[in-house]
Amino acid sequence: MKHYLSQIKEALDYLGKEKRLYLVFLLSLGLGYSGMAITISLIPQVLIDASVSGNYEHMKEKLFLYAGLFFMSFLTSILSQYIYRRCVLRFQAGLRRSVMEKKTRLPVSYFENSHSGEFLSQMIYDINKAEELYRSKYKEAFNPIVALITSVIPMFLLDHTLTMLLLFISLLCVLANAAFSERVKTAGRLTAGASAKLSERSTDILSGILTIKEYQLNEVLSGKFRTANKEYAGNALNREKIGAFLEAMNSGFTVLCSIVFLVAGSVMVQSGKTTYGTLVALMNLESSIIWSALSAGKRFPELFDNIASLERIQSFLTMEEEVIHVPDRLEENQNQSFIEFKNVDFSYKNNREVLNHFNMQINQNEVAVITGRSGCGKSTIFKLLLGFYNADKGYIAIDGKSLEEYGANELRQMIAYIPQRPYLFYGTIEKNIRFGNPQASFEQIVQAAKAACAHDFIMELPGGYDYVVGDKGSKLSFGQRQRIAIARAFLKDAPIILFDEATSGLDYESERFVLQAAEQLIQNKTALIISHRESGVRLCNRKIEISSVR
Amino acid sequence: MSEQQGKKNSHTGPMSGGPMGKGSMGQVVEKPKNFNTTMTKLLAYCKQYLPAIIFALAAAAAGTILQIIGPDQLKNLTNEIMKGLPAMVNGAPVLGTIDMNAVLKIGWTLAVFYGVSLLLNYIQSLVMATITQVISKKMRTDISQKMNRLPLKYFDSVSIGDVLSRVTNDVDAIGQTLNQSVGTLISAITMLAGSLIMMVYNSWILALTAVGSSVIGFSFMMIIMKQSQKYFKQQQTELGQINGLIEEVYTGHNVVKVYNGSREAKDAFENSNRSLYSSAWKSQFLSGLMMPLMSFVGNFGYVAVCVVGASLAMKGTITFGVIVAFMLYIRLFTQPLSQIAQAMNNLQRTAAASERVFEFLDEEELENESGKKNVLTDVKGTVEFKNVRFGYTPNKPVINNFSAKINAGQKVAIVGPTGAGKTTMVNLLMRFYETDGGEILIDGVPVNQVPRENVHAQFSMVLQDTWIFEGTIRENIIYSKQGVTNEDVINACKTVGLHHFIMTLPKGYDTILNDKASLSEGQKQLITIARAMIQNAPLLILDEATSSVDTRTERMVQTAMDQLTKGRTSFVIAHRLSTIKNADLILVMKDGDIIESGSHEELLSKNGFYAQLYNSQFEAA
Repeated sequence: MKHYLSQIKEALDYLGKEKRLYLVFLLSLGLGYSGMAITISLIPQVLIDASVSGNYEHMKEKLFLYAGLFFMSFLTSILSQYIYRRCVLRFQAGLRRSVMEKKTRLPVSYFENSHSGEFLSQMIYDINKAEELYRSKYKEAFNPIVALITSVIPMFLLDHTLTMLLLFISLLCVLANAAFSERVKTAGRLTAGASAKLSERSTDILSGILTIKEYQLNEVLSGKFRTANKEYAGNALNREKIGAFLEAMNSGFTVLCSIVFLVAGSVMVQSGKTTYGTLVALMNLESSIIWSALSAGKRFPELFDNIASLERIQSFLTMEEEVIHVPDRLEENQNQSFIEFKNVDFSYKNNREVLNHFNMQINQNEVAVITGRSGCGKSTIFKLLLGFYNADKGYIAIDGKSLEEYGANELRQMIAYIPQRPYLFYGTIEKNIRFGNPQASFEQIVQAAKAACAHDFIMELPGGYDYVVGDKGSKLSFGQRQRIAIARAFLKDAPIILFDEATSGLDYESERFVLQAAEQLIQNKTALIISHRESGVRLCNRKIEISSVR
Repeated sequence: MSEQQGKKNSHTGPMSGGPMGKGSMGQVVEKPKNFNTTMTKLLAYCKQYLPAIIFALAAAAAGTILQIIGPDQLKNLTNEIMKGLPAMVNGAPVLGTIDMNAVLKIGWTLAVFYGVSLLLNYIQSLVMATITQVISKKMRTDISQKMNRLPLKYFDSVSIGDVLSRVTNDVDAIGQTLNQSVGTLISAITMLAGSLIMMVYNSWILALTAVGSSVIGFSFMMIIMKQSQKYFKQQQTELGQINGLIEEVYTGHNVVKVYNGSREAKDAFENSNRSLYSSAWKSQFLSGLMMPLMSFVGNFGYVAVCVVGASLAMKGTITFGVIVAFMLYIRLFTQPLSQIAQAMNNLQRTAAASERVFEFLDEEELENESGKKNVLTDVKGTVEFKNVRFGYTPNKPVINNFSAKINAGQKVAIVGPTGAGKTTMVNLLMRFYETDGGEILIDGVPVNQVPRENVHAQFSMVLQDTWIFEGTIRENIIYSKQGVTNEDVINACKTVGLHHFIMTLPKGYDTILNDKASLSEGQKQLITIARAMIQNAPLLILDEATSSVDTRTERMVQTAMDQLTKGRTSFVIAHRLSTIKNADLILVMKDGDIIESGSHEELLSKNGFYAQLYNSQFEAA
């Protein structure tokens, strides 16, 4: 329990300077709601008691008092709700901003180790969950508790014997629900797991439809689907059954509560221990407390689900950020070429060594092709040069200055990088090329596209430069995407060009266009090109072959 | 959550008061295109479960009726108690006594009524839950079987995510909403009608007060709800945009980094983010107003009944029991109003989801071929194309007039620029698509006279797209082939050079391939080749697929492919001309026609399009 409470407290601390405001209005919101419920329950008491006793003396004052209190509660709840929401929205915006900023500051290794759609959707899910925590979950868990406490006080004032009796039954109800909570959770978890499996099976079938038809795999996969379907339906049904039972049980408790209350109440009224009006008022308050107790019991565990999401985001936000670091220093007065790798060692996290005492010197305006079998570290050299990863040992410099001295922004300003799989953003072609230089004029963009042999095909697309390329550029062919990426590089006009494996996966026609574009691009630039193909090799005036470390 | 809450309230006992069921505010409901047609279809689909559904609904209605009688009993109870209260008779207090027997009797009656009502509702929930699960399961099975019966053409036009969401989200939505809405709707309507009748029966003046105040309250709420809906939608859109931006930075991280495009992305993000949180105070005020207002309106009718009831009781028009009964009836009367609105929304969602599911189930299927008795057996491998015409869309021909004859055992290469129709030829050959004109013959038998499965069985394919399903390595190699021994699998893997690697895996051939234990692109390619070897079909299709592997693996794949083509008629879709020099026949395609054919040498000496293509590969730079 203590652990749970500290979790709740920590999550609240996370609100920072909003915390106090948030808590104050969370409380006043709860008070507003329960104030409405309580005053409204007391009104019939005044009326009934007055008419039973025939004594109308204080009736009017009491009624005005309650009505006044009711409206005050109403206004309090509206005002609190408004301030509360502003407070939450401000926090939400801050949270999103810090997640976003964090993302741009994280090292590339982070993305590459967790690069999957699943992780991304987890992230978005977590953000939503964390926002929901402050927006509604705290409210849903704590409002009933406030209502419970505030209703119990007037009930005790009205009649403590009956109240004790009611509280006892309510407590039984809550305990019975608590006893079931583990089963409810398990059923939910099993259903979610089965659902994930089912959608995996469906994806299997959908993504391989051609192969399935060819090899008549139908039966094999349908069998797997059927098993998953059966499991899911079974789990879901089980979950529903538990839900139905709980619902019936809770209704049962409510009914029990009412009947016991009525009979006991009748006895007490008869013996003159209480008035009938009090009985009616108690009756109203009682239904509110059992409801409050149940929803607090239900919402409270849900809090931790959201807190878990918040914790994941927190650990994301405190992750180590990108720092460019070059392990070694070079002694003074040593001759250096334009791009210098000296005795560089590198291995990916808990993985085999990729570079071992790697040396490379590239002169200004030299064009070098890097070849070697896959996994030998060709792309790694680019990543090191871009500062995406830091070398374990050795020295890397550009133009006589170690990468560390440049810092991430300055370093990357000097380099235009065309990755193996060029990435296009959802949006127009113009927007995608403009990434090279956000200040560029439209003419400059067209010029870049022309130089990248992309202008002609762009003009054939509906809308030309305003053509929307689809998710990750899915509406363009691979070769077209590559040429857009080259146009981007043209626009950037950086002194160093890194061109990775650009022509694999292309047919010879697109390859020719891409190579033509590349040839244009590297004029009067220092360029490193990774290529397996003869055609790519012919672009260069120097060839560097990397042999495997092993 | 709101549905569950609404449902719970409908079962609460005689003392039900407290906060109103929280209705669904700000929930954007998707509208179906044609509600009635879809619901009729859904009804027809559930036909065999209809008796059970009707039984469940009858139970729900009966349970509700028993609940409605409750407050009336309470009225009697109140009157019993009142009778026993000290009263002023002729100016002197007279001590009455409460008839405890009558009280107990009413207590028991109530206990029985509510007990039975509870039981009926529980039965209703169980039956409905079971039926909806059975129906959802059937729907999912139907969808999965439908996938296999659809022509490939269908999958060209839809995304996987779209179909996937029909199997999972839509079917789930149907199950959930059906489960919650139908039962709720029936009991809510019964409750509404029943409590109205009971109110009028007890006192028409109070009934009018109750109904009138509720109507005023609800219409007021509806107006505000309508207003805030608009703002809510706007907020959803903005939120979607922000998520999109977050995603973009994530997936395109290296572009964002290298091109420092992050500044622009940051601006766009800041704008969306700011507009979301500082969007007009009106929207926030309105949506903030909803909850307290709901609670206010819920209590409005209650107060009206108390005040009017008290004045009537003082005049002696009604007994106090009636007021107490009305205090409960007004709850029973207002609750169903929001429940009905909620259930109608749910039904809309059911209809929208069913529409998508039925749309899929009604897609045009492949022709039923059980009537075709012709079967290809012991195929030698002669293939002939006769004046084949084809287009994916009617007025855009891809293949114009294609003819070619391939002898058994030949290696045929198809070359040509992108969009020339190379892959289309293969798809037609395998009958994934039907020709618009002309015919294709295997061993002299037109393929459209043979069942599709029989045609497929004559081919092995190695495609650029290496698809692996979640299952063991062995399963992924054997597929559906019968009578394959362990040795066969091991031999095939040895031939393609995979055996050694597989043995280094902890579970060898029984390793399950999934997201966690995945293979490299090259290894997947080798698996598909091993698979083709196991299939041992007389015809072979290779979509030259070595682009994603390094040179050494490429050589290995090439050797394995050469092994595979021995003694089979093979079709190679070539991207790199250097790899197909040794083909027996090269078909050069351009714009849907064969413009040249012959061996490599012949074609070079012709000095035509092929020669041009071939030479251009070496002059590119």
